Amino acid sequence: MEAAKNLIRAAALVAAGWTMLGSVQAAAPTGDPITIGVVEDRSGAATFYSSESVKSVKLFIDMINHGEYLFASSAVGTAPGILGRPVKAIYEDDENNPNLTAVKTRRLLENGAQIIFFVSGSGSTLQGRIVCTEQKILCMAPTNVSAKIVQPPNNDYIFTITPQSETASAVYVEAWKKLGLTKLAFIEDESATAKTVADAYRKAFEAAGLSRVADEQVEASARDANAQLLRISAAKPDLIFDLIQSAPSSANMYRSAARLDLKLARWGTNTITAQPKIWQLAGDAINGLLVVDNLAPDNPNTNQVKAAYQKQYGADAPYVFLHSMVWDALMLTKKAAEAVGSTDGTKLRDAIEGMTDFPSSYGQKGNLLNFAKERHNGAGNKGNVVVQFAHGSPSAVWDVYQPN
Amino acid sequence: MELSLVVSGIETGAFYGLVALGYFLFLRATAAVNFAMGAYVMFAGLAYGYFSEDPSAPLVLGLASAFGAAVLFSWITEDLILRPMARRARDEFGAVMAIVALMFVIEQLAGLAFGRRPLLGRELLDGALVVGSLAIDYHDLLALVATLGTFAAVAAWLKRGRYGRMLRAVGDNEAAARALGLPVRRVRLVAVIATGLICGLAGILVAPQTALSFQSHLSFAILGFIALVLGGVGTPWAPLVGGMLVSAIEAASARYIGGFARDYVLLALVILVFSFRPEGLFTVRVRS
Repeated sequence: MEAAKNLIRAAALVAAGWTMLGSVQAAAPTGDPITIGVVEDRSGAATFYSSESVKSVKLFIDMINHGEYLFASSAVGTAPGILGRPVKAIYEDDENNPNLTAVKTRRLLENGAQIIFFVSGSGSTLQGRIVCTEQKILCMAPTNVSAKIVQPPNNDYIFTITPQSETASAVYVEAWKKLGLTKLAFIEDESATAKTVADAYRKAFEAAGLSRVADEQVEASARDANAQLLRISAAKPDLIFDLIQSAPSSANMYRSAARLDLKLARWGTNTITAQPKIWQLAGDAINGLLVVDNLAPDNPNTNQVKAAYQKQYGADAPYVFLHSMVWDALMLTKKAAEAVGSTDGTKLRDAIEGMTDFPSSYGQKGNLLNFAKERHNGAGNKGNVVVQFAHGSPSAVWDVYQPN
Repeated sequence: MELSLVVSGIETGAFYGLVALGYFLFLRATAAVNFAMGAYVMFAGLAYGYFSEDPSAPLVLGLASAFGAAVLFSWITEDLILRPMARRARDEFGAVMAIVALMFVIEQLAGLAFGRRPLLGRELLDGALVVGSLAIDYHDLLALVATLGTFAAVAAWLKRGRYGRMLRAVGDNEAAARALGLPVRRVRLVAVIATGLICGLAGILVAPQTALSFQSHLSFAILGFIALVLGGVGTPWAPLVGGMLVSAIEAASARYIGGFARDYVLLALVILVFSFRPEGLFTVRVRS
């Protein structure tokens, strides 16, 4: 009797295994691959961000081809590939040089790309998007923060995922109001990106009635920022707002502040949280810094994607917002293509413009992406998270204020 | 000026001085202004930072790779680029262009070899000397002593050393040195190796003081060159004076005018020096 039961169990196991194997085999993507062209920066100033984004593109495309969608399966289903076809990526380096971006984008299209991802600098994307409009191709700029990318002209076929500096500035203003901080000191470097970002924040903070008592610039590759910090200290601000884009200069500034024993509230942007090397180089000097970031340690969606990323690249591989943005952009692309059954740029654009409440892998718990015809940036307020550095990393969600 | 600013200014000035000393020796040996000097220093600093990042790794690996790389690049510049070019035709513009191209090749090589993230090297000495409210790292003190020692050694070598004296002769008049039967090629080789060693030392000393990236070399090259221009090439100590001057101007302009002012002030000074003392820049005065 027992032997018969065991035989039945074994037969059931074999049948189940056979069925599973069959379903996997049937679902494996087939046919001509769908090609995503990626404009990256391998040798210019955006190399660090870009290389992190490319690591995500490679891993997450592989996950799509294996049907691993984690929490996003509720939105995109479980079928591997896109439209049942495998996905592959091809790459071009634009050196973060806007003069090269359009040429490189065209080359990707000539080489068979059906969709374009820009993971170079914002300035580059602003030039590359012209090709998207000309060729009517869906373009994603998941990691760029510049609001100009999704503003006219040439914004018809391009979408962004990251919260723009305007929404982040509103969070800073609210947070500082809660603490009664009104006098700001800006510290930035001389890069074009720092200037663009700083100008946007200056405008927003002035409109909110905050006063700026110091504006200091750190030179590229400056060995320290002692002189600038002493000037800031003399101006008696309530806080220092760090807009330095270059990782070495940023780390050197925190080391200088620690050496001078500067007792001032320090706030920064997600440029810092996106570059773990800054934390490592600054060491304990960075503790206490507050940043409006895009990752919350308690967001289960983030943690699922983070776990997959660290399984691939190692438990110590830093996971930053760039990785989540690339994930969301790929999931949106899959969802849109399968909704319209095509990779036609105009159809894909219309599909994304109609997407609301799309589950995201970044921001606060429950953050959703929403797009519309006039809204090509999908981020909302819950995409921002105020985090504080402790023990050398942005490990704590700030308990004083969070946007909602 | 605040004491902390004076201390960091002296540390920075010593570094610029070392880079300028590299320019000085290379100029003496080859009559070429080697703008790749900053790239040698950057590569050496990154090599040291890369191999010393792991505290359990032997320090000698970082030191050897830094000195080795800087000497290798210095030798390549002279033996594989400048000398073959000079053999064909004396074209100073072509030489400068070739050096600038090499500078960017080294930049990209550094990015490939050490990654494009900034690196911080291990301090050669731990701890700090605390004087009142001021703390000076022992590494920074060591860097200062090593810099002064290097300048003293180079000055003594040029004055009393066999090859040093021959280098002065070669630098003053290469044709005459050849006519006298001096081993010009060997003398230049020794000077070029010395340049590499100085750049290696500069890289090793600066790597723990400041986070370096593959793009750090441009400011090293420019500020080292300005130090050379301001200090002149009259004596081996002149680059140190120039380095200290650049650093003092840098710190004072950033402190009392603002960080944005540094480049304007320094470049205005360079223009003034070029306008009023051009003879000491690209040529060495020949003794009658």
